[in-house]
Amino acid sequence: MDATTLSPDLSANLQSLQPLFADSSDVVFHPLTIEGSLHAELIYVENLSNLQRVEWGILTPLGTMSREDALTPGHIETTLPVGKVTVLCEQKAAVQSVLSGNPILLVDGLSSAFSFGLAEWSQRAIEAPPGENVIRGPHEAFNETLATNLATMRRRVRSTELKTPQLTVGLVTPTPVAIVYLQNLARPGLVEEVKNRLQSVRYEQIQESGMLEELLQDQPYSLFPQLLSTERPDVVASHLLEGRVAIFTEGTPFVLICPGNFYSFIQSPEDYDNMFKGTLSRWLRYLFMIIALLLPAAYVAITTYHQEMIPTVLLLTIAKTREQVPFPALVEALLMELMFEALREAGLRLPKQVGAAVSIVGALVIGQAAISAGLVTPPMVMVVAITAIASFMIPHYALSIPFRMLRFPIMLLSGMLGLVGLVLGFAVIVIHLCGMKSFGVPYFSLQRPQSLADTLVRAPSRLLSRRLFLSARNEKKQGQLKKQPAAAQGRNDHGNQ
Amino acid sequence: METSKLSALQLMLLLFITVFTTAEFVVPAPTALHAGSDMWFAPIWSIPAGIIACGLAYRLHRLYPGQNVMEFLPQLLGKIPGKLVGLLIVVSNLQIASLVLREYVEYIMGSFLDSTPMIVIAATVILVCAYAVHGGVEVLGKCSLIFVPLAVITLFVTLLFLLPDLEVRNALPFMENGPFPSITGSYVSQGWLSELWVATFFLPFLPARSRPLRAMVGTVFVTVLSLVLINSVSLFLFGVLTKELNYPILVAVRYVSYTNFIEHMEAAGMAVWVLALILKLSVFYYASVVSTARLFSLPNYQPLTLPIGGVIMTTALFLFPNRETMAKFLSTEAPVIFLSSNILLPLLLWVIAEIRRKPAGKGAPSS
Repeated sequence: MDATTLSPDLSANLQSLQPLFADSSDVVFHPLTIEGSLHAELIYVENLSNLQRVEWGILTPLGTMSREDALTPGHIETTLPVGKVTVLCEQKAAVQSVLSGNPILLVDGLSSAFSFGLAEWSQRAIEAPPGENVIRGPHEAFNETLATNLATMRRRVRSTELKTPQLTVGLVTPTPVAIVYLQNLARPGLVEEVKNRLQSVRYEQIQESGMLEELLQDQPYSLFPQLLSTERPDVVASHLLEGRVAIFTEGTPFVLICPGNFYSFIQSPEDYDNMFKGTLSRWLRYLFMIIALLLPAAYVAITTYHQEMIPTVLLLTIAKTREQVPFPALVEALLMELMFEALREAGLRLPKQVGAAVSIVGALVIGQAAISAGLVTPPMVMVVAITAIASFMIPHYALSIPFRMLRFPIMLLSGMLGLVGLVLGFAVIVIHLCGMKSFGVPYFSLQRPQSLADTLVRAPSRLLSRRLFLSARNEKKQGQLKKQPAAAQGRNDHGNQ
Repeated sequence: METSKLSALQLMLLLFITVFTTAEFVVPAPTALHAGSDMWFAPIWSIPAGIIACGLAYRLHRLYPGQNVMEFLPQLLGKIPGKLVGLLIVVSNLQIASLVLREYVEYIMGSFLDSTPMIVIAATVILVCAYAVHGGVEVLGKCSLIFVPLAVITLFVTLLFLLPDLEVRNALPFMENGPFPSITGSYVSQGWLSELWVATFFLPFLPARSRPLRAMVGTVFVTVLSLVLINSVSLFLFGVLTKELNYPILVAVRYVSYTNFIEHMEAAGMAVWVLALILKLSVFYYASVVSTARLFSLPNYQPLTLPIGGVIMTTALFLFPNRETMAKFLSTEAPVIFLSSNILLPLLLWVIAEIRRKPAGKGAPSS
């Protein structure tokens, strides 16, 4: 027997299927007969399907079906009261159907299996996005079920242009992945590029979109995130409208959006409520982003090499506190920053009940006690605290990680070379970012082409033209279509002269 | 051929910072020496040098579109003479790059890190530049969009704090001995403006429909204007004393004191100046690497980046025994060398190109 296609002989089919599901207590092989003589077999996974609907949608009607009707091609799939029936001819597809919760029906004499779309399992309710809270704005997040997430998306973007082709990724356990885009707006060539990259992923398993993210990046060795990940449907929707492509992964609420450019990581949905608030909070974010990266280094550099920059009164205060501290400023800064990173990491792992303990340890032991013991200076504690606050101000968590990590080498550099070291470190980062591309799009691309209107400030909505980030056609607000040859770039145009 | 990796604005910023970064330190003192109280407008006399350098780069770019000087040399002069002149250009670029690096090292060592070994200061910055050069023209162009405004705005805001201390009467008497002292005084800035010839390595990357000549001429005027500003501040602040100072602008920035809080801005000023210097060094570093790669007909310049960086660094360290020699060289010989390698040589190339074009290219497009 050919192992890949189903045969008309039921027993042969069962003979090849049963060993596959041997020792699987949750897989049910339910034999049934139609009109007393025609053998059939219903195969499903016990808790992955809606059993009630299996009963009245499949079992009950089959009990009253005649033998001739059942064997008539096209009869079963059109008459059974189930919304979605697929006819499968390949054994592999049938097995996948069972594993993803859709029961299959094999009938003796028919060389195909019927797969019923009755997959249903308990899933987490739609909750508020824990990592991306807003004060004003929708409070729904995605959950772990791909179908639910796609439905959420469909509800937000009610357009026939919204396309959601699916494919599977993962060698050992195939994970369904949907590419979601707006056909008329997506950057030309981007969808194919995403598809190609997804298809070329060779990896055993994809449990979370983070694993996928690393495999899809242009520069896997860069610290900076190149794909946005979000669990907010409104964020995905607005990025789709800007011409980006989203990747939905089964089993995780985090949706990947590509390409990610630098500025997209420091925008929050709330920026669009009010132009003044939007502009000011963006400036605040830019400022504190620099602080998150450079403040400890600048403190080290200035107190070690450039004391003359500090106003005299302040210098005296700092000098007085530094008098009794045994470490040089660099060691002190490294110690404190390390301690803070440890606290933050520990805070992630702690059960909620002991969370209070950590804040006590953090505030009292690290802050108060260390100062009174004369191990660190109060200004240093302040510097570390401000840096910590600053790093929490970046709206997308993914972008705060490189800033946390890069703080340390820059601190070392400025400990060795003063402000020169700090500037050299900063320059390396800028040079790195200037050379970076995500899916062929420069990392420093502005939110709107040729305009600082949605990057440096949040210009009034009325003035923000509809020429969006990288959409296929640049649409004016009045709906006139202006065609512009979009330069689709491949992924390998980096650096080669 | 690759195109549109660089916009006209990026080219403008790159060229501006290429001239201005070191000129702001080097130009005032020797100008003051020759021009005295006329030093503030002396840089205006260097406009022709800048325009000639830009015009030559542009004209040769139009005659050989999509090619930098190293690429069209063999067509222009033939194989062997082309290589020889190419070697000259390589050496000239290497020399400017090493000079820039040495200026940086001397400046940083002299004013901030006096006990750090020279080689550490040189090596760290050359590594940073190597990273930028490895990234190519596109990276340089984009960095210029970030670094140049930062550097320029910081400098001019700092100078703004000096406003109350400026003594405009220092500019008198005006043209006491006629225009010639100021013309003589402008020769250092002429040397620096001739560095604009380096544009030949960047013009091929501009998009087809941009107007580089306008951008370049704009650069000349903006640069000269900035130098006039710098010279004016030096003159109005220090008067005739300017010629005695090593880096008048550094002293001026150190002089800033505002409400007892904003004081000693030189470290902050130095920090942003380092950003600008990284760009300038990268421009000549890039020119050296690309021209060397072309000289040996290599398909890709990137493997040469670090070796050439080593050459630049070593040359820089052994170029002068001390800072005084360097300062003397910069204000006397250097402009002559710059003018000959950046104006005389291109001028010769252009004349040859025009002569060779005449008989064959009747239908050649004129611009």
